[in-house]
Amino acid sequence: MSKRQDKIRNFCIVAHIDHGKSTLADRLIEYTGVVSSRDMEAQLLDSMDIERERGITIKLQPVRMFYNYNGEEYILNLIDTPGHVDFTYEVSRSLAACEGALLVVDASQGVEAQTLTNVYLAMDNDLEIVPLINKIDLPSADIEGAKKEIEDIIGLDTDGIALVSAKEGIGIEDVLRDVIEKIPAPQGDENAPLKALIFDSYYDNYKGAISFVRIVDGEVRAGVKIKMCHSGKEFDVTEVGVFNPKLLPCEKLSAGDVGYIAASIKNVKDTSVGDTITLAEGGTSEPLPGYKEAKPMVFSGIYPADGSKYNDLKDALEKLNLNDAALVFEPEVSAALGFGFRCGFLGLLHMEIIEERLEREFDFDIITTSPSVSYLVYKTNGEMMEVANPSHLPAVTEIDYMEEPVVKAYIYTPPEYVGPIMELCQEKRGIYTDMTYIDSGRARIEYEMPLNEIIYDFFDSLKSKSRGYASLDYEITGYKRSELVKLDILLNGDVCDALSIIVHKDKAYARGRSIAEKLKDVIPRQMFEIPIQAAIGGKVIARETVKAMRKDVLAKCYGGDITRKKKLLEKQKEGKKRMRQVGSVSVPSEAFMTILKFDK
Amino acid sequence: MEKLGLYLHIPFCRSKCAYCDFLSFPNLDRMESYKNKLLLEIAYYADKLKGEYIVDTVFIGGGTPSILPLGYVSEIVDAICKNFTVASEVEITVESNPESLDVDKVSEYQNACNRVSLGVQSLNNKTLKIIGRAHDENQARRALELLTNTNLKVNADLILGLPESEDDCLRSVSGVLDCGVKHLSAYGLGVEKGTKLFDMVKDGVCTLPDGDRVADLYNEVLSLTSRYGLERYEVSNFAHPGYECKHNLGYWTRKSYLGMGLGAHSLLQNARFYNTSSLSDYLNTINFDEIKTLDAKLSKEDELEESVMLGLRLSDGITLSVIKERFGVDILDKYSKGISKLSKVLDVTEEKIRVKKEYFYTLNSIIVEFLD
Repeated sequence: MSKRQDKIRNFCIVAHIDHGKSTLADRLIEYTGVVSSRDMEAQLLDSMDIERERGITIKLQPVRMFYNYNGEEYILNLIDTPGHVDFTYEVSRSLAACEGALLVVDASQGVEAQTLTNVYLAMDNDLEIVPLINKIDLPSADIEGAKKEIEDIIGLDTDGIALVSAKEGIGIEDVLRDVIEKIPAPQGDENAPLKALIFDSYYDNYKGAISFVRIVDGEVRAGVKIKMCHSGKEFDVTEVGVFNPKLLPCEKLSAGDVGYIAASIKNVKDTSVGDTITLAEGGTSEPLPGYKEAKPMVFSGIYPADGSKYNDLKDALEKLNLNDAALVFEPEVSAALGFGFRCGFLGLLHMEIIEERLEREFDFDIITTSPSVSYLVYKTNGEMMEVANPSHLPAVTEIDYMEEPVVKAYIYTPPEYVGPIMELCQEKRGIYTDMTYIDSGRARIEYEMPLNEIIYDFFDSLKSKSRGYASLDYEITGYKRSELVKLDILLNGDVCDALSIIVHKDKAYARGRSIAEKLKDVIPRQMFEIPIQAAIGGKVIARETVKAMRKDVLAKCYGGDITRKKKLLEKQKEGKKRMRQVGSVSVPSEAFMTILKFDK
Repeated sequence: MEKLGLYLHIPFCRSKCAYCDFLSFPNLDRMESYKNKLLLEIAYYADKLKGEYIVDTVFIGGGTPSILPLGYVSEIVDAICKNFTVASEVEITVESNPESLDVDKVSEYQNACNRVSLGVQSLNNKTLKIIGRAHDENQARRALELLTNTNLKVNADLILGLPESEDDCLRSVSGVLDCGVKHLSAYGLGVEKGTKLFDMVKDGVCTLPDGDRVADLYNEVLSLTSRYGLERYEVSNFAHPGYECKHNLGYWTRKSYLGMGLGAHSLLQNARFYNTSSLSDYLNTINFDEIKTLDAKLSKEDELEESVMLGLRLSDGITLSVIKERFGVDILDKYSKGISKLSKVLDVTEEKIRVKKEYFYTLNSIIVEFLD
């Protein structure tokens, strides 16, 4: 082990939402003087608006700090981690780039179930977990209680634990001491062939796709040719550097360092998170373990609300894609919605983030169709096809059988909600696999569940059944044969392709009924009666009717105030413009989204 | 000379009705200065428009014009006749409320006007109370009796969709028809933001029949009125032949009209204007041009759309030749897409386009589709 690596600590912070992760990170940065407090923008690491508003971190932003301890200068690399189940894989790669994790526990809230997920993930990655108690300044702080929970639930020693108020800047020095004393130094081999773990990437207009890396072994510098182990693609390194937290070029990155590599890479897809970078010549043949291809699991159609904005939407998606390799999209056409895109996401949150960014950053009105998973369809002619758009499903007679993705779902909950939650899981076609009591206050329930049940309304139901206490984590485990059918919705006799969904046979009646009922509420009454039918393969299973509108006339015209009438008509005209024509029926944009809302 | 309608707004009311969002208030001490200002405004516009127009309808509306002290309405009408060129068979309507109408006022109106529009709204005491009207059934009946025993043309205003049963509503309709009125305006109740009724509905104090019920009511009213010999000539207006309100027809046929008084609207030379809504601004102005705001200068296209939107409100519909003459366009060509989509609801002949009777109350959707 080299003397140099002795003075490096690579760590991340694990915390429950609201327990003060970002504030603590800000304080560490401020304390070590990377950024003067004058220039500090609150919660520096969360760079996107949406993250800041939701208080969750999606994009990782590492930072390098210097700290003088016992007369020696240390380099502390803080790698922030996202905190949502959609990004578990990204989290695991960030963790893999560290030797230790700071576990932030709120002095008044104690250890939260959600935190445990990431604690276990960190333990799985052999990280040293260093707990600290935050928010000790709050009147409701119960330091002894929090200590006891840390010892009982996680089994960590709390002797000499740092007592912190990140907000007030109390105990920051103790945290830095613990980072240096308790977290192991990296132990890479500087002379071995290069192995650099990509834990994130982003697209820079000038430098191309930039890989955020942890150098595990060897070294890399500008001018050398590198190779991506999994794709096999080769690139010439133009620049290497560290996070200041802005990019700061340096001569080389060596084993133990956290930094970035720029190599004029045109596409972020060529810098896959989890991939190993090595040298094109004399590189390693053994990539780092744990690589998984980011595979979209949830699909939905995204259409411009204004049909003429198709090209703008395409541009926007391309721009988002530059920094978000996990987003996939391809053009599709819907009879009801016109030209749009079928987009693939890591999960529902990822989908929501993309929708929100399109709406906010690009100022788009979009229509999103019901999310779907990707099904494997085995046809009678022996072919297999993947179907993520329900309207692409072949005719029933051509289908031999179908498979749907299944997940292993882990639900953390206080014990009193175990009953209702298990009921919910059964209802969602879950198969019970295990349950453990983590302590007297928390249980972990494991179910094998179809992904398409989870993306429908599972999360909302889970929250409502547990009064918000339960949390969910899941991982895709594979595909399973299932009795699935395509449920079509007919408006005034015409199939509306954008409303078709694929459901389990046993759920079809209930879903059909509920969709028809919801549509009845969102489709405004029109001049003619509109039958809404839910049908499976031509057989109608549910029917509702939007009655013909009978009165909308504006009765009085006071003193010749025609303008008032005209304005009301203009409003109605505008309203009509925002609707989509499905055959003879005007359907408001909300209709395509409303059917996602869960049953109360 | 082009025909002109005059509208004169009298913004005073003893109290505000629960549904009312029009310009009215109870500052009764300002009535005299207001009337005097109105006389000045009449003189001002008569002078300004001299020689261009002949006045063939006058409508004194409100508010409550009948709340004005005896003699004011005559003064106003005299000023109009003295200053403007007035057609010999001019229609002069004054709006009245039952509680402020007495023998003396009726006799004044007999001399000064030839038409009275009475705000009955309902003959059901409970309903009248809920909506905050100042009169009761007896007062309404007495006023109707006074009026129908004169040579005045009489209209009764009723509101459909009030918080009452269908039967209660229809009793009011047959009640006023039994009194011998030859014109009935039956307006569907609108619940406007900022009114007392809006809050009452929001707070659940008061439940109103939905649009379907009101449509049913309109159908009932249609058959009831026809039994009494009244025909529907506009969405909310029913009359014996020859008793239609010429002034209101002017609005639907886009005749020029000049509004005077507070908040009054005008359509002159393809521009829409309106007066200030501030009583003090109105009373203090020395320049009537300064209190008028241009609402819209209408392009040919605007005019055409207005003609469609307003014309379809009439049972008689739009006359193709009139449009052709005025705008040089064939409406059947110009709006062929909308018209073909609306084939079920329109009655299209070589001369006219009319909305079929059974679709009359979905006119908004029809107009939007028509002009699409």
